[in-house]
Amino acid sequence: MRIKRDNRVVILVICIILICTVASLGFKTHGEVEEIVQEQFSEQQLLLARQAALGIASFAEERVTIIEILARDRSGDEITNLTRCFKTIYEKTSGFYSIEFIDRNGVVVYGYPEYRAPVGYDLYAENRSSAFDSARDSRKTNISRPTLLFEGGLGSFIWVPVYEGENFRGVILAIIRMSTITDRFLTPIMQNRTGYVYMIDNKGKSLFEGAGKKAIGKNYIKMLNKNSTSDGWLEILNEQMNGSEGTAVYHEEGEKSNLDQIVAFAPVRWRNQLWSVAISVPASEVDHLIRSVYARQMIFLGTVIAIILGGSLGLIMMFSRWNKTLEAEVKSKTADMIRMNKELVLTNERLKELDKLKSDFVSMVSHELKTPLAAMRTSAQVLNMRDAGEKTKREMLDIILRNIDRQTNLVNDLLDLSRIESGRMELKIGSVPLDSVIADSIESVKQAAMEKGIKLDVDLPEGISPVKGDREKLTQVITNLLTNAIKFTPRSGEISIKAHDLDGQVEVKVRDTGIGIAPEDLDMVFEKFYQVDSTSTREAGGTGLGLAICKGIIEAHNGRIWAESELGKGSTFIFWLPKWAGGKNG
Amino acid sequence: MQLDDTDRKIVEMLQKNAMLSYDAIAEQLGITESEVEKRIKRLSDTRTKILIVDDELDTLLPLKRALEMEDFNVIEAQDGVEALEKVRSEIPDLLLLDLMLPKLNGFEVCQRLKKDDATNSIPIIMLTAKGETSDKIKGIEIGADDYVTKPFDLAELKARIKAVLRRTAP
Repeated sequence: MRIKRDNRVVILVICIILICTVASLGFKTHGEVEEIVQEQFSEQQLLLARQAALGIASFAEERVTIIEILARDRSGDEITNLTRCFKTIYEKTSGFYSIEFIDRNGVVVYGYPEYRAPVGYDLYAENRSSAFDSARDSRKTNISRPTLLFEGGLGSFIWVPVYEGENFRGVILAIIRMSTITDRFLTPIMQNRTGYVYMIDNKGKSLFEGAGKKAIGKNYIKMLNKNSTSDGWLEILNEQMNGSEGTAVYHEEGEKSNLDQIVAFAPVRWRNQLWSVAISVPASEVDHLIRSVYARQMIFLGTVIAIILGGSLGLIMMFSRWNKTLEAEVKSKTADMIRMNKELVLTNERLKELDKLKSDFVSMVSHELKTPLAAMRTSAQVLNMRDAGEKTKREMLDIILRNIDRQTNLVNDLLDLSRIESGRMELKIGSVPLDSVIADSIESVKQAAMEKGIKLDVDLPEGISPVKGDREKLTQVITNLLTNAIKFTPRSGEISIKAHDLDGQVEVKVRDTGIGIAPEDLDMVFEKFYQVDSTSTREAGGTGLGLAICKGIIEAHNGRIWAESELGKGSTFIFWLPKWAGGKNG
Repeated sequence: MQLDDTDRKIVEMLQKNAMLSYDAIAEQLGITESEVEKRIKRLSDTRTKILIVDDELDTLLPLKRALEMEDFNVIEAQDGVEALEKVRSEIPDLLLLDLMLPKLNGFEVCQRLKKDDATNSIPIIMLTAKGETSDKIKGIEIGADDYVTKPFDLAELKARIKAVLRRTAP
């Protein structure tokens, strides 16, 4: 668990380092971006101003050129023809407010549109002939400073002299309203943008004012000198009046705002006229731009952080889940191993037990085999002695014969047992009548019972069911049980054998009045060599395998055998065998 | 031959007066006349006395006959408890002790005899069909003087008996 927490801490630290790196990189680039944006912004404003200035200049120049061409071609023509052209020009070209013809005497003789032409207006009489005179004398187009029109608004007056050779015919006066120009070139610039456009002439007079201050026609310089709050702007205006172009920043202390203004300005050069277009935008606009860039950067940064955090979290989750599954797997595997280990230990113990049983059995067998051999050997050697008497010789021969029988019995029993234990015992299954089996068994133990004065009592009901089994093997079982009973029953004792039908089984009981078996030993009596190892019954003789063989045979017949006993009063061996269910065979 | 206090007293009395009757001795020592007769008979038997302990009569009998032919005085016991009784009453010169005995096994009999000051000088030869080394070691450890496995060669057993007797002779 500690390692897992450490992992998380490491991943968290890595995340923080990554975030810090990204943030510091962002901060550094921010400074650079700020500079670049400001530069680019100023450049853009300047370009806009320049574009507008050029547009205005070329527009005005075009108008002048048209009028000049008209004036030049008029050689010999009637004035009527000339004036007819005015209509065409007015209608085909936009921008003219009115086109008028003034005769050589300085009187307006015709104009189009007619309602705008003050026909009969005498310049000399009104004392406004200076521009007319200048055009006539210089024989060149003269453009007057924008002046207020009768109808309101500023207008530019273009005076084009008309000569027929050396003969002066008059002057064509074309008026272009300033609003026509500014509506076309300046107003669209600031649409949907913060800031404003203004245009001044070389005297500082306002030709256009986008801020809506109603300053058109007034002089900025005079206005500024009056309140003299924006020294910076005054400098800029001076630059503009000089015909320079560029960008500059000034601080404006207005009533509602206290802002830096960025001004980009470009000159409009039109014949003898010098105007200057300026775009004034608050510096906050740059900040705004930067902020928008910033916002983008923040979004980017946020996304990056989110991805990093999300990724790390995902990784952590994945690892922890992986860890969990691994832990669970290790746990289950460990449990398996512990279980297997336990099983192994148990199996080992069982094997050890089996091994001990086996070696005990082997050592017992070897002891049991050696004992009669020892008796025979010693007896034989005694027989061989020269001074052995007749009686002794007989004794020795008896011993040898007895021990040969004993050895034979033991070997037979061992073989039987081996067959039983390895499942190789062959049973000749058939219908076995219990009465004849019991009679056979009694016949073979009668002698031994008689020798000990033991009474044998048989109690068999009439018509007891035959059992299913091997006659020879069952005879062996009953004989063994009887022999056993005789062995453990003292002289003048009693042995009874009883049988009766049960449901599907037949029960056989062999009861004796012998020494009995302790309750804790009841199950043990069927063990191999049990009585041999038990000191209290050593004198009874026998191979010690009889009961084990009985149990093996009965169980091979699908029956069961057990013992009941009261110590000192006698024992009863009981077995059940399945009834013969087949036809009348055997 | 091993003697107890009563034996020594009887010997002393007979040394003083060889003509003393059993009756008089029994009276003096406060024991029965038959007991005196038995003791005198035992004392007068100068043969070496061997006690064979074995529950298998078929093993015991030929050995007994063979040793008797060698002029040993052979007595027998068929279980551990009888063996201890015989040792105390007969005081044999040597024990041939089987290991697998009813009531008390050979190891226990050997152990008890070797713990008792009155009997620990009696040499014991273990005689058994159990041939495993661990049994031999156990036998020797608890004080057996020799260990012979069945079936044995009679001549070898006799030789061993003589050797043990020589070694332990007072």
